[in-house]
Amino acid sequence: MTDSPIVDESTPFGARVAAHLRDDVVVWFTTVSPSGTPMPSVVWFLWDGDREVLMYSKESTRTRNIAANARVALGFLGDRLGGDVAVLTGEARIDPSAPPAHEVPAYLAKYAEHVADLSMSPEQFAAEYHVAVRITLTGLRGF
Amino acid sequence: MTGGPLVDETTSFGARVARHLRDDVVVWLTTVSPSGTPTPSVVWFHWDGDREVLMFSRRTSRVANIARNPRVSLNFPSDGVGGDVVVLTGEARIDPAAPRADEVPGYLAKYGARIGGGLDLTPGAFAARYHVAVRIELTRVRGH
Repeated sequence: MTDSPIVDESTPFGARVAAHLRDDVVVWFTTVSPSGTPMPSVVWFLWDGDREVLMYSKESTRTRNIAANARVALGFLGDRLGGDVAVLTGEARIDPSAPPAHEVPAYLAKYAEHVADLSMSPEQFAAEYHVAVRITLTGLRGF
Repeated sequence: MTGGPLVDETTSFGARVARHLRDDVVVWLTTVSPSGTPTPSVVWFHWDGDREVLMFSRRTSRVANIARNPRVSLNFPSDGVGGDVVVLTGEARIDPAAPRADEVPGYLAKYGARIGGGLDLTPGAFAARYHVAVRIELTRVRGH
């Protein structure tokens, strides 16, 4: 692991990726099943500004896949014509010692309104999406 | 393999899936590398209206991945806030016997203007560059 950033905001591409990581509501999160099938799903996520993404999930195929194969990809939507492509790869792990979602101020700052749209309190949301997944970003490609 | 359609256009979800498959310019294709890393990329594609998607590629890591592991997924971008989620899974194979891109009328009807306009290529030059035909047999669709 080097100290150089995954996302270099001094370049136009890096600045665009950082904007997606900060501001996009959802990202495509792809795990791989034990049979080797890629399984994309749409998730809420919080970027720490450096190399880590935090997300919360129910117990699901996705969390079981991570336990068996930590390698994952994150991809933003793109512009639907083949441009604004940004794909991050990383290593995911379930973190049982992470705080619940409603105790992470930055997560709440990003998603409080969306949680309310689900007709849930932050505590109810945190209880339902109780599996914390930390993704250490290892690579970035796109254009 | 059942005889029923994979995409049931009589439902609102199926009709939306079919619309994406027919009209979207690009789709996210994810292959899996030998190390088990999911590798998404954006591709042009042509749906046959049933269970098959055809695409043309250069000889890239995505083609090498398919040769080792045919399991792939296709997903459309979604609406960006958690809706219009459509994910298809399938089995991909390289088809050396497929016609070239410039000999597939449905492909040219969909992409002819982009090949000549944005890429500034003749169909023949495009077909020579993107010469690896990949057929994806769709096996499952999920989403909402």
